[in-house]
Amino acid sequence: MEDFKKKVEKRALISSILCSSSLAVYFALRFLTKNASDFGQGLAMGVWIGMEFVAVVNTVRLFATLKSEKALKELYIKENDERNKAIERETSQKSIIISSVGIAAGAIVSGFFDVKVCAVLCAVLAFIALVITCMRAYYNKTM
Amino acid sequence: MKNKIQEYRKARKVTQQELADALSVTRQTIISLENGKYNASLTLAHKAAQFFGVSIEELFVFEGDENIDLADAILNNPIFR
Repeated sequence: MEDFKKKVEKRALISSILCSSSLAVYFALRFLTKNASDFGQGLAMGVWIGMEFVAVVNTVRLFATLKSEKALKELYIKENDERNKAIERETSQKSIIISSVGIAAGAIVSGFFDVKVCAVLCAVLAFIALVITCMRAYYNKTM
Repeated sequence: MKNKIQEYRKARKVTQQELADALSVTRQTIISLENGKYNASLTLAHKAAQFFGVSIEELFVFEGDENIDLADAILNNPIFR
């Protein structure tokens, strides 16, 4: 449990650093996207606001957890529960298969209308295949 | 794979939450185990057996085991003889 507490403390620290650096990130984003289109600026800001919101909620949650031994044990159980991990594993596997099939179907259909969209979807598929190959090679070596 | 977790738990008058806390899993995992919807890992099976003071074989029932059939099929294959 002590190791887990240290892990949560580290997470809380990273999360709070992310929160405190939000102003710098905001101005950096403003500077980097000053020549971008309205859509581009809006998208960047939207993503930043979303990430910031998650970071703030996460920080508050983690610090509250660290204050209570009961909450810490509950989080430990929730994160290390083997059924939850099995669900996570199954969900990831199935999701990647379904997404890949969807993207492949999209690539085929879009090929009839727009070559650019088809090329982007094919690139996404190739990237997914590359990531899967790399991950498989990594786990083949480490497991 | 069937198990006798519910049987042993009720005999020892332990609630699902108490068992879950002792095994460091969620109550939902205990419910799924008791309903036979989820098969425990070797680690969890060992922990559960230790908790009830019985052997893993006593707590978990391996019946019509495909793994054993597969092992037999491999071992009986002429290649491995």
